[in-house]
Amino acid sequence: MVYLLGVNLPDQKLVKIALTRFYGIGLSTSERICAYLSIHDKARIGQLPEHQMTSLSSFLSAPPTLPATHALSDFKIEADLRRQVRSNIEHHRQIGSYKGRRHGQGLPVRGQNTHSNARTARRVNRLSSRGFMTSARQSQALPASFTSSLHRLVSRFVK
Amino acid sequence: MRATEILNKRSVWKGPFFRSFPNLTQAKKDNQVIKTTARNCTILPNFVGMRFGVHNGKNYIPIQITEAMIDYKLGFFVPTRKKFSYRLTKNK
Repeated sequence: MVYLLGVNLPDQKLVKIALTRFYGIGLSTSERICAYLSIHDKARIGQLPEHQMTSLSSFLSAPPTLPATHALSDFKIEADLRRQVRSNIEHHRQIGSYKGRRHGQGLPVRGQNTHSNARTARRVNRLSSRGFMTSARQSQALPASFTSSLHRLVSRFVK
Repeated sequence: MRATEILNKRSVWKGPFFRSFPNLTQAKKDNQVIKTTARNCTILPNFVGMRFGVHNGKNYIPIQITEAMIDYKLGFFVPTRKKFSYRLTKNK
């Protein structure tokens, strides 16, 4: 078990598989990283020599600046990536675009149907600061006699 | 990598799609609202600071163009659909 940047990498896993445990690294990215650091395709986490482990951890914690055409040029993981995603959404909220509005409502952003389901959007498309913002507004805007379900329904549309 | 996202939108040689507004310079001077139904018109850098009344299918909704809105379409900022709100009685 190797503990890297808050993620546990199990010893018996292939390096390229284990790296996908990071938020922001999929299989193709992890293969690119392995190629960049000359880690063998079949190497497992437990077998990695010390110098490769340190180069891997230094790569993940502080990615080197690469030319813009390089596949790993805008490489970001975990908190950095989450922050970037959040700021992208926040940008759309601030300019008042349709995308930002849909994010605020917890509805699909890219034109999917909402007649039924739209479960993924309901789960994912919410603003980070939305939780306490709406609760504060609810208490101001709505009488207490509303049921909690109606509260939730209304809060989705109250901006 | 990210460049493809932008380039895949439209051929570069075509340039952005836009409608020409004949009263653009005059409206910019007078700070008038330009009413338009051209929701598909790309917001160009020289629109910044102007006000457009963009048609939502019913009314012309005024929007103020800021620098962050460049390269999006006018209709991107004016929703066409009403939000559903439940009412117990129809008479209200």
